[in-house]
Amino acid sequence: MNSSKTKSARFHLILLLTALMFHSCKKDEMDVINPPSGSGVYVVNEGAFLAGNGELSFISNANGSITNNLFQSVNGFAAGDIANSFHIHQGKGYLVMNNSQKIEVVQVPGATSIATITGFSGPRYMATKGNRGYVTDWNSESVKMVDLDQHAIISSIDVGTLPEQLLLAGDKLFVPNSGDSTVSIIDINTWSLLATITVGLGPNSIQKDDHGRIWVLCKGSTGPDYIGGTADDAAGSLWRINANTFATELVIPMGQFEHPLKLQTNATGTTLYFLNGLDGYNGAIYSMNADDLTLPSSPSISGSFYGLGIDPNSGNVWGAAAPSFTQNGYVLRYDLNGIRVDSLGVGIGPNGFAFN
Amino acid sequence: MRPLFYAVWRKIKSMRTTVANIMLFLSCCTQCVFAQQQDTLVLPAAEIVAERPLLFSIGNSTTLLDSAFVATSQGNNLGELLSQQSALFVKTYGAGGSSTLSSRGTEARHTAVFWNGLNISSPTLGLNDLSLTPVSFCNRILIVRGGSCAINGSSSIGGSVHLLPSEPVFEKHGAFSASAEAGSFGNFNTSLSSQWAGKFVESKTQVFYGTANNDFKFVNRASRDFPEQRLTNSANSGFGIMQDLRFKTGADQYAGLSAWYQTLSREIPPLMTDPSSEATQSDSSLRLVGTYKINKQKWGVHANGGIFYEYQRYNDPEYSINTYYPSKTLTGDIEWRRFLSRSLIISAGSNYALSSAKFAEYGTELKRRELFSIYSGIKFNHMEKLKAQLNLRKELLYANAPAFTPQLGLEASIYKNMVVLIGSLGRNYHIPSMNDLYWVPGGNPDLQAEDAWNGELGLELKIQKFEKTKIRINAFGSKTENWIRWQPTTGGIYAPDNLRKVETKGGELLITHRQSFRKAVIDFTAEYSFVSSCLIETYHANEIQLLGNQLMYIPNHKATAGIFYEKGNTSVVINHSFTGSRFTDADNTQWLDGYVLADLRMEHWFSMNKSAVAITAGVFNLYDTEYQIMPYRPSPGRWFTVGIKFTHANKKP
Repeated sequence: MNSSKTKSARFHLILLLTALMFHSCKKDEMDVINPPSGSGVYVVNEGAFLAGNGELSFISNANGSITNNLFQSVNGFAAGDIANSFHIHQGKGYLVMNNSQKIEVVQVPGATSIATITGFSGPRYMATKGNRGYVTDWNSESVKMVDLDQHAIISSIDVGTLPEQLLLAGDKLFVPNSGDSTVSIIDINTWSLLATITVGLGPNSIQKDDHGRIWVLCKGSTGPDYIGGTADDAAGSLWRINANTFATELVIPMGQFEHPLKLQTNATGTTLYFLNGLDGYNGAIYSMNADDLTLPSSPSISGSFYGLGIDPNSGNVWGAAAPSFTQNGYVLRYDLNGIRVDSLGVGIGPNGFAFN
Repeated sequence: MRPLFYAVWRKIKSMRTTVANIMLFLSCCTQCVFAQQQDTLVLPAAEIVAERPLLFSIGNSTTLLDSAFVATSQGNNLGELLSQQSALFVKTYGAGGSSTLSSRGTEARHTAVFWNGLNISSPTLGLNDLSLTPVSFCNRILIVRGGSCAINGSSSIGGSVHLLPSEPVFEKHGAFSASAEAGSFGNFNTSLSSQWAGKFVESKTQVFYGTANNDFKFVNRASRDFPEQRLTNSANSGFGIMQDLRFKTGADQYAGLSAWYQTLSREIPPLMTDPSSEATQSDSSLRLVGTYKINKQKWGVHANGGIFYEYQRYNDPEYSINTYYPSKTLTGDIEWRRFLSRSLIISAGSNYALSSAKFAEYGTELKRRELFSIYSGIKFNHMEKLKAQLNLRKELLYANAPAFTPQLGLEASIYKNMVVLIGSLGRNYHIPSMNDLYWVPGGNPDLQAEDAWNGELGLELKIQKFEKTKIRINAFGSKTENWIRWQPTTGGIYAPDNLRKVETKGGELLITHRQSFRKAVIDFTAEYSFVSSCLIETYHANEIQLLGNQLMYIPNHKATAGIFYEKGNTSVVINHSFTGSRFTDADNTQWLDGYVLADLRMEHWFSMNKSAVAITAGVFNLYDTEYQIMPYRPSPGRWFTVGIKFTHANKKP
């Protein structure tokens, strides 16, 4: 009897020890950090598809320090899947989360979460004026008008296929439809489509120069095989459009294997910058005067960059490199002479910048 | 009075883990097969009958999950079972999602899965989705840790899993069993099994049906204020039927036919970061295998041939994706083995697999991958005190395979059979999958096979008499060249290359203990595995900073511990498993936290002459642990099942 009790007690002891050995506890709320302050550079880290790790990095102008995983670190929750762009407007930052179909609104400086704008089906880029935001929405092939006070979509207008990096010039939205060869032009006051003009194949980004002229960068195509540099490639091109008449003023053709993207300008609009490469996703950095009629014969900064940004204050050129979507990327800063200033490790898939 | 399978289980329960025990088990099983021969060579008969991975398992760490685990986990799939019962890491993409295995720090493609001695991994993906295999279709499951390609062929670099058939006995009997289980989140599954045997024919039919809504609540860690949400688009429904027929064609030989149809349709739930999902996936397979076995006193021939059809359809209206991937594999394996003396057995054989597939992503033509290998082995056993084996394999058709694949295994008793030294050293390989070879764009038909050297060394301690307690400690390591990985290319697409070398090293601790009372039995099993799996060479300049980092989604630590308690007609099983943190990026800067899961299952049987009925109950995720196996894929909290089982045999158990 005693022996049996002893054995029974031993069994329960084993049971208890096993349970204790593997004791578990509920996950506590995430630790958060104080948001960084002051001016700096925000880097958009796209993250890997279906990994939920789209993020921001912040590089302080004051001391050059970098904070990676900024959104999660400050707010304690993930920003979402595929961070596509970050737009700063009137003290707020709008982190456009493509596959999570939302925009996370944060305070700037810092990145403290304010609100989430939902109802998109694949948001890409944003332009703003006053208390209105305009967001290209890939899958619905539309531009959404957003009330920036209510953080809600209030209207939608159809455009072309796969609308991309849009431009607001005065009261007109210029929307490049990267899935075809058109630019949709929208009057934001009447919220109506003014015109749809034809440009080169695959327009992906639009900027305005110091004369108010509209520049449209067209990627061309890597063809049905999706492989750049093969016989089925279609050449990229750069187009200049009259902002009022929407007439084509200039077409600069490119080589069959040139597939440019991410058109930017400096603060004054005198210089155009873009990436130009073989695959349509990465490229070397090219720059040209907005009055030039031809492309530069060689890149101003060699390399393979996935993201491009021009600091409007210093004129520094920022290039972002994404080796793969399972490892972290890095950003390189160049001065006005194209001399590399520094290099910093960021998150996965850095694809763009915003400057505060 | 216990049901039949419990009685069998009690006999074989102690057979877990060690090679010696496996052989002992086979010996017991085969005594009846050869009873009429009245031969004194009992153990050699077992070695003639044994499935190949059981015969040549010297030096590898193995675990035989017996029918008891199968019986108590009938509602689970193979991935769920292995996750709870072994220190292998099972990577599951959310509730009801696909599951793949990582053994000893390797990727899913490095653990091959076999049924009836034939590799059933998908030829297109190069891996096996364990969520497609219901546990109720598994008779016994043999887990082999570490490389064993010389024995099992391509892809067993990290390990292999063998769904072993039961050996026919050709004695008149009949048995029928049925079970049904219902649980939280709309979980319901039912299985039927019917066996019939005469002197010349045996038949076994198994049917499984399962469905689940998986609409559990979870805390959304990717949303402000962590709201509690309910998972959507997460239902699944599966059906399977397996038929085995065995025909006795002589006193020492039989033929067999096995057919297995399996289908699983599932919705793919959204990530926590995403608002919704409309994606669905449907997987179906039909596998037909013919078997012929001749088991003579001193020699035997085992032949298996099969044809496997697989279909996978993925549909996501949100992104206008609707893909369909069918494939077919014609495969066969024939092996001859013979005793040269009581202590020496040799084996030779060949294996063939022709896989073919045609779909848009492979271009316009039918693509084929044809593999043919020859192999041989020799095994020495001196009074169970010193055992050694040498196996060799050569792939003949895949030009970029290693020239020659040897494996050496050794077991030596160094103290009265209570302390046994165990070791193995071998070369292993993985032939690229058809996706690696032919996917458009990116596929590379010139890819090299992955080429690995594996070694392990261990001690097995048998502490008490009658092998009541066993402890095994292993150290292992491997280096794999030509590591395949899909990588962005200058053309803007992803393509696989061979430009990496990966090293794994680690250790394992395996403990089994049995404690008997007058009317009760306790079985305790525990496994712990530590593994470091790192990139040690790369030809990609951008990956230099990754050298020495742990590979993504491979935990350093995994442990399981389980207690089985049985008294009278009541049994209780408590399993714990710990999965350590896993990095989610190659830089090792982001990770998922480790977690502990526990399951509790109970059964109580009521016996009635030749029949028995049981009521069952289970509590899963006992501690209501919040965890993610893959990032932002929700997992259920505590949940419950209740069920009923029925068995009937025409003989009293």
